[in-house]
Amino acid sequence: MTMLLPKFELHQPTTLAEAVKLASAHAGDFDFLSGGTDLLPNYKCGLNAHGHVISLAHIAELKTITRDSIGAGVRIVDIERNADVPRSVAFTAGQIASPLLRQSGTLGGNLMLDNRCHFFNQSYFWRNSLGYCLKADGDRCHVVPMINEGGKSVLNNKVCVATHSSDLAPMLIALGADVTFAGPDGSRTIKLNDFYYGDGIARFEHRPGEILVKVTLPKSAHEVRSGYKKLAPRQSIDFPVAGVGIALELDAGKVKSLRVAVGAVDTTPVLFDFSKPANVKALSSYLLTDPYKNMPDVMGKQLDNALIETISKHIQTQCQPKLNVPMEPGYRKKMCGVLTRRLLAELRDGKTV
Amino acid sequence: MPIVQGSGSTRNEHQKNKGVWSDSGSPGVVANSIIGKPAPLKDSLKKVTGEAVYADDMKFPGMLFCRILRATVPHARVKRLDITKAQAMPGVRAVVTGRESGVRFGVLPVSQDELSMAQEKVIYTGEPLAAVAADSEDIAQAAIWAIEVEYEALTEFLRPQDSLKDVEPAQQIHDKVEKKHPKTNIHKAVDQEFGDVEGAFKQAASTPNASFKFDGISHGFTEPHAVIAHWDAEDRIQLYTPQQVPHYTHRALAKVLDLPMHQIQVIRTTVGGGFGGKSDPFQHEMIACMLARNTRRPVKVTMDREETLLTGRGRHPTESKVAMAFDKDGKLLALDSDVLIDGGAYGSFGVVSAYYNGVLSNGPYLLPAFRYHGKRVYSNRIPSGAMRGHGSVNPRYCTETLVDMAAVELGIDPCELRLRNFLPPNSITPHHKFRVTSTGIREGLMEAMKRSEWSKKWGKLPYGHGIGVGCAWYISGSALPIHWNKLPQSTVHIKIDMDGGVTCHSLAADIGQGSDTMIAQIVAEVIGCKLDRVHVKSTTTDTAPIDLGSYSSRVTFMAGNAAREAAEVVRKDLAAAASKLTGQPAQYFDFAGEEIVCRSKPSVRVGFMEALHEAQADRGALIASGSYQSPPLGGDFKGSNAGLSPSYSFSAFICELKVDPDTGFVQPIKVWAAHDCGKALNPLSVEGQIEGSVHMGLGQALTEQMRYRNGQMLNANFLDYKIPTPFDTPEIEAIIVESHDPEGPFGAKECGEGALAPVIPAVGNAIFDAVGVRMFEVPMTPDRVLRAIEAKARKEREA
Repeated sequence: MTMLLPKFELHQPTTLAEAVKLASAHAGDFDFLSGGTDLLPNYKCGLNAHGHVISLAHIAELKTITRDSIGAGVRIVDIERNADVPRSVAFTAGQIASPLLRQSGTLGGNLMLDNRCHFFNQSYFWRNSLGYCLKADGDRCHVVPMINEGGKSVLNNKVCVATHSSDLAPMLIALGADVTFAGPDGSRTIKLNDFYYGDGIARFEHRPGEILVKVTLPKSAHEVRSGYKKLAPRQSIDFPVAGVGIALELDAGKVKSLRVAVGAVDTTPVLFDFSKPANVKALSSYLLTDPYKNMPDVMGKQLDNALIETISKHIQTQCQPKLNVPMEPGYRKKMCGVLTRRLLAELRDGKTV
Repeated sequence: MPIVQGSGSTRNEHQKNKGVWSDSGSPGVVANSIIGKPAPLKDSLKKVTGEAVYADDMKFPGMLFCRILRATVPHARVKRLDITKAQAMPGVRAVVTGRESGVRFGVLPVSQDELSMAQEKVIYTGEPLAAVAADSEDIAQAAIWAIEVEYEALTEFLRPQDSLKDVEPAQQIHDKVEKKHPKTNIHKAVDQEFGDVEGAFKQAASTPNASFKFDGISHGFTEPHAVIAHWDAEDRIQLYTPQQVPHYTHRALAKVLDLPMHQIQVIRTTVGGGFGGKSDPFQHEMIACMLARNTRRPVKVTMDREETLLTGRGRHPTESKVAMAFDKDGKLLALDSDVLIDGGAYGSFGVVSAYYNGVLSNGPYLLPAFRYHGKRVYSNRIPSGAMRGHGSVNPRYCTETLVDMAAVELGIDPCELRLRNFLPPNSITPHHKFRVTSTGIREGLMEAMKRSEWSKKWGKLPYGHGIGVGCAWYISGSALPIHWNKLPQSTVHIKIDMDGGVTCHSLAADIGQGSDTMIAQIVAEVIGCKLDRVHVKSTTTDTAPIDLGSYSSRVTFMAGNAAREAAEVVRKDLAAAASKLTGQPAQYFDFAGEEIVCRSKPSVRVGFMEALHEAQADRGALIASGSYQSPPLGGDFKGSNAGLSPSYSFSAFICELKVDPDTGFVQPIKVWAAHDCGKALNPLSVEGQIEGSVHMGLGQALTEQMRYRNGQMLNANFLDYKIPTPFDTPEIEAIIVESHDPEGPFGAKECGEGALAPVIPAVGNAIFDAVGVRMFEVPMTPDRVLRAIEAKARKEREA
């Protein structure tokens, strides 16, 4: 039950190229360390610790912040206090963890946060008492013990439902942000929303040796109405147990575009893109939430209270949180609707953070 | 901070009651130059600069590190425990198991049910089974995981209701259970009835009743448990431990280690918060000593947060059915309560908890008829124990909620109804014979009403915005010691030598509540010297006279009185010296500002040092001793000792808050907290105690709960155990009420515990005022509040 840090070799590269090389050299047995606020507590619990830790703290290329792009190594507090990034992004940064943790946590760390589950985020002793789980040291899921396979109920030794608990991810996804990676084969840029994929273990589409370099915001991020609302047991320090980020464009009160991203209710953030429901990527088969099933057509419609209610109800209906983080799933589901309703009304009425 | 003078009591009234009232009020003239003035706590600079030494900071040459193997199942027979691999590991110096000692211990002589390490069976997930001392923590931990254990499952008792059932002896968690229920897992049953309860309910105009449920909560102290034991070359054992009650640990060590007490020295290290959670003698204290004995080297145990939470002793999970009866004018007629208390794996302070859950409902209102059935049960969960407001907090929520319900039903303002029922000063409760000397609760409630603008707000705020009230009382020191003997409950020694330093020795544990400062203030006041002359040594059993320690809110009252008595001996010596130097009669001197001044001729005065040196002539250092023992109190029925105290504190709190009807979130806006502490010896410290109590009470009210999955605590860490942050904490207005207790030192009573209980019902009653729902489950989490709001809406739709 010790909280001692396991032994590992620490690497401290000063350039991206060097870091990529180290990552390739230690493929399969390393973790990147940025602020350490997520990784080190997990290591102390003996959660999937590796023999090598590659610190990204000394790489200047990761630390630039401009109006349109934020380096992965930028501290949360520096986003929170930046006057040039969209207000909704700065506000969301200020909702993360506590003032002290925001001094060390980084953007990259928040986006690549390990998924959370009350059967996973426990000490070695605790997990030993319970019997380990799929996500660390074990072969079963204690949250969803049985799954349906070919019409039969079988032991769930496949799908992890641990919750993705980032605050910034849903906000940035709603704004349509891109992420850029540096890797052994050069750099690539994809939609942040396409990055998240898979169950509570796989979590994202991350290629070997790749390092998250920056998040780029589209020009529209500064123009749309956007905001974030977080549900957490306390007003500081807690991870979200539901979080709603919205980017909305209105034309004479009518919906021109609407993207709602919900965090902390599934294994990845879930984007409800009301603007282009017909043109969405194939959803991960793991994702429990299906945003596009029975999605109401809202485009060009007056965003009155009735329409807001329709949108909120849809989101509430589709979100399928599990009993694996604080607060009951039924309650969190209901709150997805409440947060959406309130945020949409605020954005419509021009209330800004 | 406002200080309100209570009209509590007068000396004359007490003298009318000779035989009942013992008079230990402070004689002579005191200058009040130090008492009643805000004084920063004497150890505060050390704490804020990091200089304070906690047990985990200490290092000794050759020190070994200990880790403990804990049970991974709630209730099982230990079929095999194999330590051979652990013993063989390089760097491992000793491994101990339950075979080391079969001696059972516990804080109460009637519940000696803890083993240092489990033997044939384990009784909760987290119970110590074995321990390793090694050259490093890493090695010790690796050795722990090398120990092989095989279990054979036994029936698990994870709901308190299951513990009420008759079972086979093999399924009983402990051999010794309540005599009245020999086949169950009931630890202690209390059944009391006084007055005509049935008759009261028959004639009542209002009989509110409800079932309540309270989750267990933890003290949440900052410093995890950490101790060091050292068995020295002279065959004496030293135990460094952050104990609230070094004396009981001292006794338990002597029993378990089979040593005379004088061969053991207990040294209290800086205590990083206790709140009751460091007041039992602990298994890890025994284990450290055993490993030190076997290795002859110092051994340190430092727990992590999870182990600290598993060690437990927090507030009992409780389920209560309570009914009250009132007449049409709101006069309280009777209380009938049935309480099921989940004690977890050990007895701990549980016998006291079983009584307190009932008998402490005999105040702050006059209660003509009383019935109580309380059962404290053993279960295979984390042991419960004493926590700030021990035994009074959960039942107080029940009664204050029902009082509020009666007020609404009878159409009487809830504050007004309370004012009609308060116990008067200089009175004795009808059945339990609790002696109320002073009370300022009436003044306190009226002041809180005035400051909160209660009359303009209650029942008049818009939907979602409410105000509520809660009142409480608490013992100011348990009148009966845990170990029955004739020794004083507190003794203080003073030594003053020619350097002019005043050294006070006491075993009252400063656990952050400021008892060292309190003793220094009292002594400085009595002998008229500056506060910084006085140094309090309160850590070491070799030098400190016995004090029963920091529990039951006893320290200011009892150790304070002992300090005052000792200081008066010194004062007499100094007065005699001043008399010798000036030729004036000794009884004519006043003491203040480092001078001893002749009352009739103020120009005749002697400096403190001059008088001291004169007093020391031919005898050296001045030595004095003072002590305190409670007067005989109480009735003569079984269990009459429980709840007796030489004095009681009183409090009246009002809370204003907002409830978000869509999310169920409760946001406290302000708490007006009036607490009658008799006399604020140190108003700064009293204010801190009130604010701390409010914060802690709000935690239990809104967010804190020990959550379980089977026998495992789901949230044994400070991310998931939700203590309110500064953002969750409202403005707190501490209102100090002074009722000048006739027997407290300079009139003082307790303020460390009693101020917690009223917060929770004030919140619950304010939620009712805000959204019209009664909360019967604590904590009042958003999902519970929302469920109550939705249930009400559903009911109204159906109606």
